[in-house]
Amino acid sequence: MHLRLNALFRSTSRHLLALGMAASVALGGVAALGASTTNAAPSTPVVIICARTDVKCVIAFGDLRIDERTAALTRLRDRANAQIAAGHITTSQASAIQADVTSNQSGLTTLKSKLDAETDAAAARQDVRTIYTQFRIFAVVLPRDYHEIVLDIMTNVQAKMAGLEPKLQQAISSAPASEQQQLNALYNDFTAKVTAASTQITNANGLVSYFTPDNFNNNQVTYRVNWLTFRSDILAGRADLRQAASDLHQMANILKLSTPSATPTAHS
Amino acid sequence: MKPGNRNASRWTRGLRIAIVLLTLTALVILSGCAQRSHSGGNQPAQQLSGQQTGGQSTGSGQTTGSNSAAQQVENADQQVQSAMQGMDNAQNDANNANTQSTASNIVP
Repeated sequence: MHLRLNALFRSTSRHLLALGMAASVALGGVAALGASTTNAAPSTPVVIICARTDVKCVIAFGDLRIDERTAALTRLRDRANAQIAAGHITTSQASAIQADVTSNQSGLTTLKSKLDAETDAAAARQDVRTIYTQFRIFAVVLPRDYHEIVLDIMTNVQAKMAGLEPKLQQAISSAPASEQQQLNALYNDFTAKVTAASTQITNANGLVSYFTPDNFNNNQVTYRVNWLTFRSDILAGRADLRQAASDLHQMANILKLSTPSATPTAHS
Repeated sequence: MKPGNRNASRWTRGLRIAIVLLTLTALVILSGCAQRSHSGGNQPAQQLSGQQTGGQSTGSGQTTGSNSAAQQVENADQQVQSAMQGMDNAQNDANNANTQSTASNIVP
């Protein structure tokens, strides 16, 4: 088995190796233990072999996998908090992410306690299997939640831009006649892109609820298709918002240059 | 207590009260002077603050425009540019998570 794994390592990608190792751990026989070094990412496991009945070895493997996921969830929460602090998402928007982090970390802690108390290697392997099949932190939770943060920011930017339209019209109408044509062209493109972004955001938001560990486990093909569509919607929406932001920036500069200084003049 | 001693005691108490009242009066007067002197030294700053927050007309009759539509557009533009930066950072995190999910997509 060890020789076979080594041959596999030489001939296949890292992804396939990881798949084989996890399958060995979870399904019994001689287990391949992916013990990480202190800072190692999950994608660079070191192969350690667990004997068939070596329950401590399987527990150590599972504990490491759980610790990696708990730390990754903490990073997600920190990122969400940073976006709140920067004013890019609201506390309310972040609450879903925070709840997800708390729920998964709590579940992983419970699972770790169960795993650590196992005295039978087969039962321990079943607990390790649960890390993947039930939680899907790296495969489902983190990609989905990080994209949700992007979507939340996009939603807020889009709303900000849409709310600015009356003010832009007012500013353009007060601008010099020589600037009106360019300003109106920019404004028309701005409103078109803001509307297009809204559609993409709505489409992407409509898919979020599909990305669950259960659907990942049982509807892989649909899951993949929806995930690609989801990412593509976000990409298109971001492009629309980027263009709208560029239009806005140009309009702001023209308006700034064509209107009297807004800075107070000092008078003695 | 003899009547002479009682009078002396009353006089002493009255003196104490008078001293306390005089001290308090002096303190009030001194603090009032200090406050007037302090505010007098910062008159230009007060005026600048008023101009900035109120967006009032200047001496030449020119409107500052701090509440104008153009100014509001400029402010909104700055907020949007900042949010776009935050969005790019969030997208980088999302891309990393997506890449990692592919790398460690272990299906037992």
